[in-house]
Amino acid sequence: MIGSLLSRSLRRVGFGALCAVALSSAPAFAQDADDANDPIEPVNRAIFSFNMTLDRYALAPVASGYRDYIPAPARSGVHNVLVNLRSPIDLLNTLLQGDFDRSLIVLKRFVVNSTAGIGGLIDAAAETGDERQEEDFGQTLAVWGVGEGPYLVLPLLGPSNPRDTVGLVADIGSDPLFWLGMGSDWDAAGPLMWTRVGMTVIDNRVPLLGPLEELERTSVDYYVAVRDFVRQRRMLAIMNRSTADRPEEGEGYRFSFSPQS
Amino acid sequence: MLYALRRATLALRGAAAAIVLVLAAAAPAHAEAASTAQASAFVTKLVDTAINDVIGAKITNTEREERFRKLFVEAADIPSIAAFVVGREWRSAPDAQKKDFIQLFEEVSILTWISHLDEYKDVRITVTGAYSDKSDIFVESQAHTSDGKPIPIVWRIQDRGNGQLKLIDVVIEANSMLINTRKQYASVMRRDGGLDGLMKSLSTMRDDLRAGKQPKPLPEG
Repeated sequence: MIGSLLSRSLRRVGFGALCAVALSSAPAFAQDADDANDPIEPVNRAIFSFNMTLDRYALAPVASGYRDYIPAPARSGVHNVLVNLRSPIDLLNTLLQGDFDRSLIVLKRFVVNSTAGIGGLIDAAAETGDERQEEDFGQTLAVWGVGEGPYLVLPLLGPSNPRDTVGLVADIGSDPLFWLGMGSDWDAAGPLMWTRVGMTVIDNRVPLLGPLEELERTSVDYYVAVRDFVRQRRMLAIMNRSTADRPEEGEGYRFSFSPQS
Repeated sequence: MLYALRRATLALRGAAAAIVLVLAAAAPAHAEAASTAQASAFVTKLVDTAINDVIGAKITNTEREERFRKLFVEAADIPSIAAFVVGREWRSAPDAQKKDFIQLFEEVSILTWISHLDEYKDVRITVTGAYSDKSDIFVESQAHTSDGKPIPIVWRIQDRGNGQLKLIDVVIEANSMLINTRKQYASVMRRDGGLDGLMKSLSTMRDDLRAGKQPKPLPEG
């Protein structure tokens, strides 16, 4: 299934490049205040609260232990290795999006960091100004014009939508390391693959330890707060915008606001 | 002769029109430039006061809350913010309820911030830029914490005339707090019976915050 998905997506390369050009005048994204786009909200809420329980008692404690007991240089080394291992996925998706300038950056980063960066431990490329280009197949689909569909909370994996769920499966399927692991002796490869997955989950959770707790404490409806937050982030990622970029008038946080007289 | 005179007046009129046009174009640009500078100073002062006189000051919790309240009420346009976060239901609400809501909203906002001001002790905020359009000034800043990348924070300011600036929104990493709050409130109102239901939830939140004045012990972020 993964294979057929992948080949189907590969066949669309030409089409994708075309769409990427057509859509390069990025779609407007005003923050629509009242559109929840969440038809299965009760189900989503149930899964969300299951995820939150799991997070509270398992993931968050592990992540904060990791943060408190592992020195920062070691953690950043782990982070850099994980990011470097994802390079094939970043590369494939910049190519699929027809964004060849960024493909070159990904390639350059992979070569520099794997050598000068000692197998990815040090992000040497970032010091010369080549920042990470984080891409996934969900973003590629978005660039090709596929809508996100309704909000979806996945068990264990968290907030998503149909488009990004397909993207996630495609990302796993297009990861050479995944096939390398599947093709080799499982006793050796299995633990390595699970270590990578586990470390990725922890590494992603650490920077959110403060912000998520703060969001929870300051929210009347934490579920909605997270839903909105995740969506805004995702939109910026698709448009390859940094959170510091200035939006156009009427876009993003520049919605109209008139004072009460 | 007559023809030459007409040409001269036409030329003069043209020049006059050009001057008017130039002035008209220059005037708003000038006004905007002045107010971005003013707004930046406004934000800098707001942040400095919050950090030096509220968060960092050696005062009692009651005093801290009072100082923060004063700062918040003076800086932010709370009635307009309250109307925005309620959204559609605001227009049909009776005036008395609007008044109650504004007060409750102010209270909950203050208590929420106060309950974990401690966490902002080591945060340094520096204004990095500002830009404006016809109704708003956006002051850009960076929040530096002890670890990690600086966080971009944008302060949305509106000029209420006579140089009176009001804070409208705080945008953290491109996320508008105004929009985020509005969406949460919309969800509560949909499920819990409109503005009345929302006010009930907010009252509970206020009482909880009041009761547990100490911030909950949490792993530091």
